[in-house]
Amino acid sequence: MHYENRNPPEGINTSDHSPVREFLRLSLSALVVLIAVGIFLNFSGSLLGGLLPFKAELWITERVDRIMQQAEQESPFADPVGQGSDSASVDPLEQYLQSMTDKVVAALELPEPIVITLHYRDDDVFNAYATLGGHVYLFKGLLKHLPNENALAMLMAHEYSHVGQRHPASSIGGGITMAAGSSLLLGAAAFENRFFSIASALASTRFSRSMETDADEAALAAVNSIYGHVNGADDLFELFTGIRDDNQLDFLDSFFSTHPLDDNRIQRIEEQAAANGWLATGAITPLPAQFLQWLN
Amino acid sequence: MTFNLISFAVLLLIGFGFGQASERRHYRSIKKREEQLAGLAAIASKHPPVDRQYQQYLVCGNVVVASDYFKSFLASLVNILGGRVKSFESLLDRGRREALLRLKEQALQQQATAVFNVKYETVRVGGRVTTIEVLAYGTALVPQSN
Repeated sequence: MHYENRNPPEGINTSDHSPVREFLRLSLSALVVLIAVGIFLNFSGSLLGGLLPFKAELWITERVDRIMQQAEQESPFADPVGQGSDSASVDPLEQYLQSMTDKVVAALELPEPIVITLHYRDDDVFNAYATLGGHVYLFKGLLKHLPNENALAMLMAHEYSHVGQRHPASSIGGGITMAAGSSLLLGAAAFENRFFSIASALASTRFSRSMETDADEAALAAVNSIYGHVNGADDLFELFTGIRDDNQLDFLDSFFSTHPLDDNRIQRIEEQAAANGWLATGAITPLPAQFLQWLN
Repeated sequence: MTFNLISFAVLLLIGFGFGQASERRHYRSIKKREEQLAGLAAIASKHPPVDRQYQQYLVCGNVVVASDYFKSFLASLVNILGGRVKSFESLLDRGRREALLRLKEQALQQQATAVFNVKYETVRVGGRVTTIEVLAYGTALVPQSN
């Protein structure tokens, strides 16, 4: 008997395909699918998160605080402004920030169960943010650049509006469902997760930007209520523009940024003021003379 | 974000460029050696010829072939959308053919005239980028001189 191996014809066990065309077809299809799933997960998670009672937020933050203290770790919810010291020795900066908070909270007319707990952080970070349980953080790195009290009021009102509109719970709810969904859908594989993170950033930016816009609108109304005009409120966004220009934030970072572009925000403020008949001019209230000394 | 996107694109480009070049080079080598070794038959049959006495040896050909970042990324997209993983077909094809060639080289060194009962085993090894090991093994028949 004669045995032989004939050389196999090419193209039977492999497909003749263009890798680049395959890449484009698969990438676009997957991007569409993942963005659609991401939007659905984010939307449903945000909706569920927003339904969480504020008391539940307080319970979560108190519990985290207690666990951190028991573990002798530094709790993010510890050391709020105006607490932990006797009233005679309260820091003048904290006194001032608390009095501004009282004014802004009153102007925002936050619903009953919602309380704001302000934290001042002596870090040179250009940031301020609100999180669960009404905890709001202001950093020295941002406060030291503020040009006047109106901009500070706008900043505080913006962050407190996030709390009032339950944005932290919605945002965290959306984040949790996105993370859970991506784990279920894709497992822990590195490739898909990198791809999914790009797709989910595209899917979630819109929600975050709409939250920022809502917070801006409520904040501007509060500033108008406190000062009788909205002059100085846009100084906050002009400050952001200046800092961004200094740091040369590139196009992609701007695109993926959760905050609307500063120029758009200034324009929207002007439109909102005009639509409501609010005065765009008026006396700017300076910050206390010792404000920078207090910060330092 | 920009850094992530750029590093992702660079990894894809490197994977595509080097992966395609390496695959073409490997196929050229495979085809050349297949022609050289065409005279030695490697058969799946379990029934060797009975025309004469043969000494029998186990011969193996083993190869580990790595995919590239581009191919693995394409495969991960197919995992989401379903369909044929075309990017891995050539990887497995190369692995099987290379393993068989190595088996034949080992058989020739033992003056075998044929290899019977040839089988393949394939396993995935390594971590992030798909890497496969293909083992071809069979029984080499070496005619007894008596």
